[in-house]
Amino acid sequence: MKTPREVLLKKHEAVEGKLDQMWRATLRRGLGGRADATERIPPIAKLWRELIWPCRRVWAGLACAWVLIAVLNLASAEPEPRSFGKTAPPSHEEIRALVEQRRMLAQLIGEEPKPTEKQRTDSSGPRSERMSKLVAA
Amino acid sequence: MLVVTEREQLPVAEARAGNAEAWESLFRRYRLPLYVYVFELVRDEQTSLDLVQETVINAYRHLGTLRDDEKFGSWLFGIAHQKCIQHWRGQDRETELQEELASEPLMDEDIPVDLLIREEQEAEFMKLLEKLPWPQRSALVLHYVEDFSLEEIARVTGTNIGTVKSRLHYAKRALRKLLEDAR
Repeated sequence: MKTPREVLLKKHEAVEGKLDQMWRATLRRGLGGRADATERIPPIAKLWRELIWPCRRVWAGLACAWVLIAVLNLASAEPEPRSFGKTAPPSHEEIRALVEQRRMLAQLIGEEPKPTEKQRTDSSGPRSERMSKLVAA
Repeated sequence: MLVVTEREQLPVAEARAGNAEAWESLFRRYRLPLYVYVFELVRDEQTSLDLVQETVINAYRHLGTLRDDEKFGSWLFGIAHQKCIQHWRGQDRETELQEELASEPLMDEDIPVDLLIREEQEAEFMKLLEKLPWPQRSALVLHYVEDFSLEEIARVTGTNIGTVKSRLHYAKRALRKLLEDAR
């Protein structure tokens, strides 16, 4: 009398030689090679596999939430006021008018007008030169 | 009566560390039972050899994911089971995969005791086994060959314990009836 296990194993025991051959062929063909290949994965891919891929749904959910927040933020934002930096520089006429206005104002209140740029350049220079001009005069 | 001991000391941790001798030892322990299981499902020698090879390669590559070393056997047979299902899917045998039995819960004592087979009945036993629907055959071979518990068979086949009980019950009853009829 035999148990079903004994009957089943006995029926197939002839294939053990083929199983051994298959095992050796598997080892030769690269059971280890496959393992090496998995170890040679670049760090980013490894990180992706270990950190991102197992929780991909969580990461995808977070990404969706951020996209939604960004969209809502853009949609509800008010138009920005015009910035001063973007205004055009004043024209020469405007500058001249402003200078003239200041001069007139100074005359009205009895102050001496501030020297213009040209006057300032004339009086500028070393004091020794200014002295020699005076002597010559 | 059972040849498989309840708690074997398998060199799973050593195999995980890449020890070639440990792998050799594991392969020698499981090669024939694994082949028997796969063959009884796919019924073709070359296909069975290929599927066993794929199972071993898969186990080698994914041993790191096994948390409990004591469950190595059922884990390995689970891979083989999946390989068989993938093979059937490739052959478009979805209809056979859909076959399910009534899974009414059975009490443990409802599962008939193991059979003892006389020598002149061996060939008949193998033929009768072949006649069983594959889910019953799968549960029965796992029970006979590896003496897996109901929980382990459920894990291997991806079903619940009630279904496994039911399958084993009907398989053993059918087998016993067929053997009696054959006398």
